[in-house]
Parts: sequence; C-alpha cells; structure tokens
Amino acid sequence: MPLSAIPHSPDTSWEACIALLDRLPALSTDERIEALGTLIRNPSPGIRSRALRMGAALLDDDHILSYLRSEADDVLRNAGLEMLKMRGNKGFHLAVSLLKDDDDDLVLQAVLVLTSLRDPRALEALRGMLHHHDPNVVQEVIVAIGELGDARAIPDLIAFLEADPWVQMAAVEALGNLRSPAGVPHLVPLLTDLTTGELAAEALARIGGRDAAHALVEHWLRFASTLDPEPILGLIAHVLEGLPKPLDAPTALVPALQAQLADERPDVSVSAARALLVLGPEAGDEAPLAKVSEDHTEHAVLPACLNQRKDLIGTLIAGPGRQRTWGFLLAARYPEATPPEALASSLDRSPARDQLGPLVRALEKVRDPALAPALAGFYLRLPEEQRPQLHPLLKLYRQPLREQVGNLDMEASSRVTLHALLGSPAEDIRRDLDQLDDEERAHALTELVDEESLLRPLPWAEWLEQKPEVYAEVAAAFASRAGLRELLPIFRRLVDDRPEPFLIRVLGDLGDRESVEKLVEHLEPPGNPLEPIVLESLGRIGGPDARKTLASATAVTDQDAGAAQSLRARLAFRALARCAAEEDDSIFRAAIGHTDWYIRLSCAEVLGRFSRPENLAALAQLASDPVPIVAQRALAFLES
Amino acid sequence: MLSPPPTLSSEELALFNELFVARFGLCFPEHKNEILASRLEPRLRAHRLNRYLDYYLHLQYDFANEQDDLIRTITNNESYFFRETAQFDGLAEKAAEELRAGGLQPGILRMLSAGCSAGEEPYTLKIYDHEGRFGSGMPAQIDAVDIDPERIEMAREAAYRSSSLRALDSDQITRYFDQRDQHNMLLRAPYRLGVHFMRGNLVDRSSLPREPYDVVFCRNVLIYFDEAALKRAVDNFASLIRPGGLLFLGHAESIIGLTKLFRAERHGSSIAYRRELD
Ligand SMILES: C[S@@+](CC[C@H](N)C(=O)[O-])C[C@H]1O[C@@H](n2cnc3c(N)ncnc32)[C@H](O)[C@@H]1O
Repeated sequence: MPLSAIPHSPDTSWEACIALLDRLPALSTDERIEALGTLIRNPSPGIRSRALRMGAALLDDDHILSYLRSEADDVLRNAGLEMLKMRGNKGFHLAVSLLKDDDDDLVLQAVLVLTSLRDPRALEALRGMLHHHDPNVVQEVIVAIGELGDARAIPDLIAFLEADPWVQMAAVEALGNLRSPAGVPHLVPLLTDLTTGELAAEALARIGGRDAAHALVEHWLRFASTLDPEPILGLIAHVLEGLPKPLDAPTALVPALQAQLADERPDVSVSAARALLVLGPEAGDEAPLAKVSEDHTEHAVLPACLNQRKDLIGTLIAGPGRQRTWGFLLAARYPEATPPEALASSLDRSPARDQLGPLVRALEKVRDPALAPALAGFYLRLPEEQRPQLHPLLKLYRQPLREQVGNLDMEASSRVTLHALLGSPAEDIRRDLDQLDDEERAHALTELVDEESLLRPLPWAEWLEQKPEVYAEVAAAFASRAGLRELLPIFRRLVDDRPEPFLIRVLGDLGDRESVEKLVEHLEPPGNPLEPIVLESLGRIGGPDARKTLASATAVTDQDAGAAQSLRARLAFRALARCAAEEDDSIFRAAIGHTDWYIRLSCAEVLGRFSRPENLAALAQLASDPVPIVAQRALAFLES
Repeated sequence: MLSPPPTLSSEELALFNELFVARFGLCFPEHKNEILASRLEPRLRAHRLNRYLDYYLHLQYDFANEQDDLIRTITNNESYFFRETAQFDGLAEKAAEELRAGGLQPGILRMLSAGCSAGEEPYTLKIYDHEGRFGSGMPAQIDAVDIDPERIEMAREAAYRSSSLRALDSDQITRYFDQRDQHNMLLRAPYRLGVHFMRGNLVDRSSLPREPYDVVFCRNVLIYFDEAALKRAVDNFASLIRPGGLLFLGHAESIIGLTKLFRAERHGSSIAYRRELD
C-alpha cells in the first residue's frame, strides 16, 4: 500500500491515538513510521512511551538523525533523543560520533544521550568536550561526566566551581553525582552561596556520609530562621538514614526537629519525623512514628528511617496497620532483638492479608520454640486455602509443635494434616487417613496435595471408584502434580458422565492422547463455557489430532467477531503454540497483524522457535509491536 | 517435598491485567508482580490449581461466581478516618457554600465518595457536615460506592479497628466512637446514619447512581487504574457531576491531559477539578 493510502490523521486526541495503536499491528513498516509522527504528539505518557519504544525498534540511525536534526520541531527532536536513549548500547556509537558534529545543538543532544546511557566508555570522549566553544554543551558535558560516577573526574570538575553560574551549577551537581567523599570539602563553602547553595546541599546529600551530614545539620541550625525547611530537612533526613550508625548530632538538633513536627506541610513534618526516628529513642518516638505511618503509601517496604531501630520492634508489632508490617520486617532482620511475646500476641490478633508474608518471614528467622502454641492456634484459624502459606513454617517449628498438637482441640482432618506436615512416619499418617470418613479424608488430602511421596502409595483408584463425587477433584489435582497416569482410565470414564473443568484439566496435564476425541466434543456448541479449558488441555496433549482441531479453531473468519469467538481464537492460538510442529508456522506467520496482542505473542513464540528466513522477517515486524511484551519477546528471539 | 509456590510470568500478568482493566479498571504494574502472585495464590488453592494460567482460564469459565472473591483479593482497601484532610478543609472553607447554592436542589450539598472502602472517607465527610463545617442549613446528602461487596457490608456496620483510627487523637475517638468490643470501635449514630452505601463500579456507568452530584471524592482509587480505565472513569465522573461541580482526587492522582470536561483549580493546598459547563 502506498503511503498516501493510509488515512493520515493529524488528529492527536487520546481516542484517535488509541485507535491508531490498535490498527498498528496490521500496518507495514513504512506505515508504522508514518503513524509514529502522530503518536508522539499525544501528551499522554502511556501512548507516548509506547510510540517511542516502537520507534527505537523500528527506525534506523539515519531516520533518528533526521528527527534529531528537525530544528523547527521540538516534539520530533525530543522523540529522536528519547529513542536514541532507548536503543541502549546500539545508540552509543551514534551518540559518540555526533559529538563531532558541526551542529552545536546536535552535539548537545548527543551529550544528553550519553548522560542517560551511563556507559563508562564515554568518559574520555566527554572529557575532550570540556572546552567546547558552546557553554551549553560544556554544561551538559559536566553533568554527563557526573552521571558516569567515576571519581577520577573530580579534578576536572573542581576547575569549574569558579566559572560562571551556569557551568558552576553543573559542576556542583556533577560532584554530587560522583558520590565521592572527596567532593565534600569543595561543596561545603558553597552552601551559603546565593545561586548554588541549594544545589550544593543536594549534592552533599547525594554524597552522604558523616561529613556531609554534619555540614548540612550545622548549616540548617545556623540559618534556621531564614532557610525554608522544606528542602533542607528532606536532605538531612535522607543523609541521616544512610549512615551506618546514628550521628552524634549537636544537642540543638532534636528540639529543632521536634518543632518542625507540627508544620502543616507534610514534606516538612515527615522529614523531621524521619530524622528524629533515625537519631534514636532519646528523641522520643511516638509522635514521629505516627507521622511517618500516616505518610507512607507502600505497605510492604520498611521505611529507611527505621532500618536500625531494632529497639522499636515490640512497639511496632503491637501498633496499628502498617506499623505492624514494619515490625515484622524488622523482626526478620533482627531476630535476636525480637521479643517473642510480641510475635505471639500478634499471632493471636490475626494479621491482615498482606501482613502474612512479612509475618512468615519474621517467624522463620526468630524460630523461638515458645511461639509454637500461638503458631498452631493461628494456623487452625486460617481459612483452609491460606494454610499452605504456613507449611514451610510448620516444618521449621516441627519439634515444639509436635508437643502441642496433642493438647489442642481441632478437627480430625486437621490433626492428620498437622501430623503429616510435622513429619510423623508415613505409615502412621496413612493409617490415620484410613480412619477418617470420606469427607474428612478428602479435606486432609487437599491440604497435603503437594506431599507427593506421602500420598502416592494411597489407594486412589479404589477411592475414586467408590466415591468419585468426593475424591475426583482432589485426585485430579494430585494426579496432575504427581503424573499418576494409572488413574487415566477412571478419569476418562468420569469425564463422560460429568465434564468438569478439573477432569478436562487432568487429561491435559497427563498428556492423554486417547481422550482428544472426547475433549473435542466439548468444543460444541460454539461458546460452550468449557471451551477455554478444553483448548488449553488439547495444547498440553499435542500430537496430530489435537493440532488439527486447534488449527481449525484458530480460524475466526471475521476479526470483529463476538467476544466468545475472539476468546476461542486467542486460546486456540496459544494452545497450538504450545504444541506446534514446524508445518504449523504458516498459521502464525499469517496472524502477525492480528488485532489481539495475545495472538501476536503466540506468533512471536512459534516463529522464534522455527527460525527460517520468512519467520525472521515476520519476527522483525513483531519487534516493533505497540504492545511491549510482544515486542520484547520478538526481540529476544531475534537477538539470540 | 513441597512444590515451590507457582510463579506468575509476565505473560500471565499481562493477561490478568487485561481482564482486571476491562472489568474493574485495576492494573498491576510489573513491579507489583509478586504482590499480585501472593494475593491470587489462595484463590488458586481454593480451586486446587497450580498454575496462574489455569486460574485465568477458570475466570473465563465461571467469572460470575468467582467475581466477588477476586475483587476482595486484588483490591487495596487501605483507608482511615480523616485521611489527607486538606481537601475536606479546602471544600469546607472555600467551595461548600457556593456549591450548595448552585446545585440541583439548592441548599442541599450532594456528595459522593467513590471507592469508599469500609466507609472511613464518607463518614469523615459526615462528621464534617455534622459539625457544620460545610456551611449551615440542610444536612448534606452523602452517598458512597465501592466495588467490593464485603467492604460495603463493613461500611454499613461501621465498626472499626485501630488502624482506621490512626489519624485521630484520643479526644476525637471518644467524641465519635463507642467501644463495641475488645478490638472494635463503633461509629456513633449521628455520624453514621444517613450515609448511603451501594455497590458500584467506576468503569461501569450503569452500576453507578444516576443523580448528579455537587462533589465527588475519588481518592486513592485511580492510582491503581491503567490509563484507558482512568479515561473511562473520568468520563463517568463527568456524567455524575453537575456542571460547576467538583471532583477531588488523591494527591498522587491526576487527570490532566485526559479530558476537556474538567478544569484543574487550586483549593487551598490541594487541587480540585471543576466540571466545565456543557
Ligand atoms: C485504597 S481504597 C481508598 C479508600 C478511600 N477513598 C481513601 O482514600 O481512603 C480504594 C478502594 O477503591 C475500591 N475500588 C477499586 N476499584 C474500584 C472500581 N472499579 N469501582 C469502585 N471502587 C473501586 C476498592 O475496593 C477500595 O475499597
């Protein structure tokens, strides 16, 4: 199709761009390039970043250069820059060669690319640019050198601390980025400088360490009445958090920080709180702790200001919401400093869903036998489907728990399960299982389904024959895991009576070619709810018959077909991809422009597996797919 | 031997995200892969599955029955009374009177808390209103929706644990709550009665109330949405809020660039979006 035939739309609205992205997979390379021009003009970060990633994969160096040279069009130039950055290693040589360009602006862009690539090979080339005639270039070069983080460049940079303000500011920032304590003495005198003072403080904070901390603290205390606390307190908190041991701070610091706790700007009060918490218990913890827990949005991460506060573990574990999570995280880090009673009582007050992981980690590390009763009680109160998350812990606490089990009140099935997990002899467990009634036994088996060697010798066939309605589901789950093919005849029979998802699944997991014909029946009528599971099982079984069925199920004639048909096609593609033979690859080649990203992903998978030239060409097309996971998969194959 | 917990591949993550975005708006970025995996694991167990893909297929097979458990599993319900009050204060000090006068039923301020979790946010609004901070006159109408039926139940019950009260001082706790049992505090009747809760999905207009509101609060909900869902939600807000009414989002959330139907404006230290006149 000639370029002019694409409906070129200057419409860069959100809706138009989304529609264009949806059409993109069906477009040729040239058309995609043209579409890029529209997409990169959309202000939405989601759309723009997809367009840029596509461009980085699609455009050759000359094309990117033409973007970079389009002086009158900032959007294009920026896009070129971003794409070059995204090309990583492949962009490096182009960027270095551009350093010698006549166009100062292009040189500047090349420096920006090198800044973001952070490739140490760039250092010498960049040092050679420090005396470029354009001060803008010099400024960026200084920044770029900072990003490379090689302290050998410090003498180069110090020379610029006396230069004109622009360049001076760049040198200050670069010194910060080099993160070498050797930079500290050069930065401290600049703290009081009107133009570079704030930057110097930031640079010191980035370098961190005791000297930087002292310098910042003293500076703040000295000029507290005139300084805006917002930036400097954030920096002080940051540096204090990074120190291996709390700072022996001047006595005036704690009261000064406490006074800031009441500031109504959260940035100020929270920074003060963080700093106080790092300084230790003498500073008083209650108010700062409340502040910090109000602020933090990410639940499962321990705030850095608590990193060393093992003295707070008990308080935190007894506290509300996230404080409790933090307590668990700290306990896992400092098990020896953790009061076991705190953990025990927290088990009694069942923790919230997302606290279970951190709690398990804490208990793994603390391993105090005295925790066994609380642990057992907690385990028994958990809903059955959550209990397996505690299995590793039960095994760790095996010894003390064994002593408990006898005294605790629990259902018969739980008792057997616990004994099994605590390592009682297999013979005893099997005997106990035998004494349970069918329902209880099925419960116990369900929880033990991962205990392969224990369960394998059990009379599964007999149970299945006698009480299929009780045992079929757990037997299927166990057979899938343990590969119990001897149960296949029973499963085949059962599926005739009741085509349940779990039966269809186990036939697939066990790769039962004999049941292909049976399974295919459940693809009818179209839209049969079992279809997704049947297709997946056929893919697991593989072989000529399954492949034939799947190949025909991939063929949805009308791409705008209803949801059920589209689902059928996508799952059929995916299942066929799992078992495809080389002769199936044409089906996938023909589908690389499909509107469904999941189908295109299956295409990438299969075409990457059978690498003939025509498949490589199709993969290249997929490498600039607008959906990142598809593009990445195709690229990974192309690069290997 | 214990089989290790199944891992969630990036392909499976993308599949779940596609489904979650279409149904609920929610999206788990790559770095939250582990969180999603650990939340879904009990659902896999409940169905005796050992692969995430099988759970995806199960959802295709029987979404209707799994929906509520799924929602409960994947939503973040974190909330507390008097959370980020700057916006309530901004409303109280600057906009409430004007909105009250210009609404559909002049004199009555109609508010919606969208994504209300267990009620901490709409009840905070109720407390503000009860204390006369949204101006004098008729009590405000306060409605609240959430997609999670379990949260709606809890909201109606109005009993809270300490983590929901973390931003309150002890005076406030005694003023607004009674001790119900060892772990729970019950919100007192004057602050509880008259707040209407219902189940609603922000990306499904038909599940949301019909009437136009003067103010909608939708805070700390849209951060978990992908961009396309955000756009759908915002279009729904546009039809839920009368021209001239206000939308308040959480402080990490923004809809700038997505719509011409709202205009950002400053209210004290926070931002509100004003519904443009049609
Ligand atoms: C983190 S809470 C925020 C609660 C409250 N707005 C606040 O700021 O404290 C998010 C709530 O949004 C709800 N939610 C998520 N997706 C939703 C949707 N599509 N429609 C309605 N509510 C939704 C969740 O169930 C959850 O209760």
